[in-house]
Amino acid sequence: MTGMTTRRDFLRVLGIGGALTIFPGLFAACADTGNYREIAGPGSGNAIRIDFADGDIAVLQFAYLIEQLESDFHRQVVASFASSTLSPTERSVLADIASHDAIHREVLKTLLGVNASFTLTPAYDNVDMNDRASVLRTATALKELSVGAYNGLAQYLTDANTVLLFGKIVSVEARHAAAIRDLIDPRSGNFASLAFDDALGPDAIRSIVQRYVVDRIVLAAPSAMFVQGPNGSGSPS
Amino acid sequence: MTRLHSSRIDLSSSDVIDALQFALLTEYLSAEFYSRGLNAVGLIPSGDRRVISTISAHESAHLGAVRQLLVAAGGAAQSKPDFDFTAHGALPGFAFLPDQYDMFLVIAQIIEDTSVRAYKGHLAHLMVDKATLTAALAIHSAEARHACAIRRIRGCKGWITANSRDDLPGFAQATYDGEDNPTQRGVNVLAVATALVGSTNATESFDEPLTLPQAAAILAHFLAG
Repeated sequence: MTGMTTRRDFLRVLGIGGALTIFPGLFAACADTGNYREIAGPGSGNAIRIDFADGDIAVLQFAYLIEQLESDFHRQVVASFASSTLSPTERSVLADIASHDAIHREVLKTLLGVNASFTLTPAYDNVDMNDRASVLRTATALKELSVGAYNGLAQYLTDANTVLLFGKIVSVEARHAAAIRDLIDPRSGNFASLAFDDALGPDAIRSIVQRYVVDRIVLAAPSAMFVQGPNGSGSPS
Repeated sequence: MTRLHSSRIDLSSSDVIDALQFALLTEYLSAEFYSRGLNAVGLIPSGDRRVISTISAHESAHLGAVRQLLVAAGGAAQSKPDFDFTAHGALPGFAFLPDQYDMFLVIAQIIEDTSVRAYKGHLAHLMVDKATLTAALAIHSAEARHACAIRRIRGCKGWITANSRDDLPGFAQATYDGEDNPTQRGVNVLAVATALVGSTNATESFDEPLTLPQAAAILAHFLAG
């Protein structure tokens, strides 16, 4: 994790990520072992760049990136059912979620067309796909990422139909989050941590996504200042 | 004693204040419903009390937040109307009595699934003000969690399949009409889903909005008088 933080700080010092796609060799030289292509750790791979100068397309790309991550995770969860400690009831909930996330991903991909050309390489370093607790913990983290991301990114959209699309997706993501939390701690107050869900800004989303993917997520941030939601929780911690 | 009837809202208008005024009505309804439920002796089983009290606390917080947003937008918050939780007799005899928990949950599901759709319908109207839009989204997804929690207590999936109202009474169908919309931004979700996973889950993946008049017609069931 230290290496990733250092690299992130390094990129931040450089000011922009866009240069990464132009000078990949420079960053290979800066990687921990000298050749980033051999590193499978988070952030050690090729750059995936989201440039908010692209407007609504960039926002949709960010959502597509998150859905790629989520759908990949849940696909692997489902693929591990045979050897997993999840109960049949839990499997049925998670199988639904896997389908929904795959559908979200494909719909966003279709909408983005030629702008959906990137494919994430996820890396779940600390997840045991056979272990119920590990799977549910990570599933919760990814759902909270997704809810916070849609809530926080909508403010950068200019097309009302896309704002509505985000609304249509985020409430289903929130239903997922509540269901998974209910599996962990049934009939508790934990299906929602707060009265207001988080709204995450682009930097916060990027840094959370980065924990789970080999690719370097490079953000050319929007020029408009992020407007916090009620929890004031949308900046990187 | 000012009473907020749906007829007092200008349903032809779609500006920020109307959206927030309607959100206020929604929160008045849900805050009073859960508060009365929690105060009713013997209604809520101890095993479900943490869920219901969590939702209740959220609804009160939402009520305060919406009122603030409304004032900030230059509106004047209407006062709370009187509610009729029998839905004008559609839920005969409902009075938060100890043997009416099933009916309590039925009303809760209608309120939550309707709230999610109503807030969603407001979003496009709130784009002009990012702070209000983001606050509405933060409430909207919390309502979706409530809906999921209530549905799971009732033994339903946390998400809405097609336009099914499950075992809810007929007047609740308006809360689910249109949830089977197969097209998102021109993309045929059924086709996408059939190729990927079979079509059962297709429309569960997206929740649908209600227009303000549609949502008002549903909440009118619970307005007294």
